Amino acid sequence: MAKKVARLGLFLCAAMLISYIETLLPLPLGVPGLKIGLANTAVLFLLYTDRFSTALGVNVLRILLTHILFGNVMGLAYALTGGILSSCVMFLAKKIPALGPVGISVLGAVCHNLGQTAAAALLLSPAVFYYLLFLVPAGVVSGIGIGILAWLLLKRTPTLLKAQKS
Amino acid sequence: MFKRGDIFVIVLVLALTVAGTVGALLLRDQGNTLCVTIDGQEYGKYALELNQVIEITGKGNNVLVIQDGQAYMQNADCPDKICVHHAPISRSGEAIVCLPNGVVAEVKREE
Repeated sequence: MAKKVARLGLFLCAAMLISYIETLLPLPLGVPGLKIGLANTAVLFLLYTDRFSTALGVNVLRILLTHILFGNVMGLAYALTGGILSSCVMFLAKKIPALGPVGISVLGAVCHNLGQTAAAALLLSPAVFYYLLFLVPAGVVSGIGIGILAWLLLKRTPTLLKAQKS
Repeated sequence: MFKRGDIFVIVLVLALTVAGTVGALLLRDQGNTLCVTIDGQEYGKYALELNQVIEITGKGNNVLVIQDGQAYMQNADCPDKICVHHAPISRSGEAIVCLPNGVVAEVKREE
């Protein structure tokens, strides 16, 4: 139990740090909601090495805490919807044997875009669906990058860091 | 590094995006009304034929300009200024969104 809590804390910390670093690298492309999504590396890593509940928990807590800490409360509802949807879809996608980290990560990124846009459409106006034309291709590109990153991490991280699934 | 299914997923998602873009391009037509909402609440409707300056005061201040049938955000007090940098809109379905102020200006076609 203590080991599990420590592990969760460690990954939450890492994911938050990655999120923070990402806020320092703004993308001047003029599309709201466009992000690299680097923190998804941690979620992907957890999906492969731990239970789904851990991955989902780390993702939700990371989104909550980073939005509160780094002062972007406005985007919280969008990010949470996207984060939960993408975590669930990545969990299901991992059950498909033909998919590797890259495919799962691309699906996760695109579903994050769909989720956040749907939340914004509900809260603001359906007109925001128009932004999907930019968000989805960007999600595919960053999803491939994050997938490769997670693949490298999974290959090179010592088994010590990977918890035994109980 | 890549599994067979990964390539399939990438191609599928990109194909759907292209289909969506083509669909959106084919369906769009010139609009005649600019509908402004703040946090989903209707704020006002403005005819695109009339040149006008619309000052929107809600959670923040935005200045919309309609000129020659096109609308653009001239000024806003939001931190990111994404709405100000947005290209002018004129076709139905196009929209300028100012997330910090909750402002959505969407072009519609109304009789």
